[in-house]
Amino acid sequence: MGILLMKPVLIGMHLGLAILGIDAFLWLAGEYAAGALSVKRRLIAATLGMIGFIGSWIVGGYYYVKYYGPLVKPVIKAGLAPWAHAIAMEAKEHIFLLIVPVAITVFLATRATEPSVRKPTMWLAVLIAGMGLAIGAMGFIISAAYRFGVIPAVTG
Amino acid sequence: MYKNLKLIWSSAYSALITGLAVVAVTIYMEYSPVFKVILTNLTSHHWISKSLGSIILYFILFFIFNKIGGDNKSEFQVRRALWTLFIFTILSALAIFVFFVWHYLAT
Repeated sequence: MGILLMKPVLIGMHLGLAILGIDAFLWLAGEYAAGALSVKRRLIAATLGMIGFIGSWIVGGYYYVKYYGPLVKPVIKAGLAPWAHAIAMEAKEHIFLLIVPVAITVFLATRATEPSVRKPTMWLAVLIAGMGLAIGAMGFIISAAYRFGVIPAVTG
Repeated sequence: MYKNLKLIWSSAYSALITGLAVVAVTIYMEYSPVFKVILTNLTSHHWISKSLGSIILYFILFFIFNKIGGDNKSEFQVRRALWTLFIFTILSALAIFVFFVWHYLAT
């Protein structure tokens, strides 16, 4: 259990689970785009996506509360790009909260076979994947800001 | 034919209102230190309170909509609910992002 709570492992799990969520919802969107009629495959994709985002939320939340606030945030705020916290992190941590209820809605909608429900469900799946990618980009900005934040302390 | 379209309809509007609540709470907290302290005292961290609050609100709304939503919904009603959720989710995410850009530039 101890190894799972190590900082690099937590970040890796946060990212890995988010990638699972993004890929699963892209898979789901592909099922709709291809006109595939397998409800079973749609349910598998939506379930994996939902599990990925919920897991990423819990793991990322633990890391954010336990390590980011006391260890990472002060370095970024004192570094070359304090806006990485003020904009990217603040937006990331709050936009994430929008995803899970939408993911649950898409999960429920995958069981519907009505043709008119397929198109908005497909676009919601695309939206979830897009938001996940945007949040991932913000995470990259935050990590880069942290690395450049510690460079003066290491070299100077 | 999926018989329980009302579940999708209920979930779509619950997610939509939850998203708007997240935007409202996020912005209000930046201007009200007292509110931030209240959220922090609830669970030890304001973000945990917002996280738990959002998912609890979603399920409460889902339960209410499902109870009071009447009979099963039509395809048209479900399609409209999903498209409305799509648009409002984009607007909610943009509102959060633009607010924090503006807030950073203004302070």
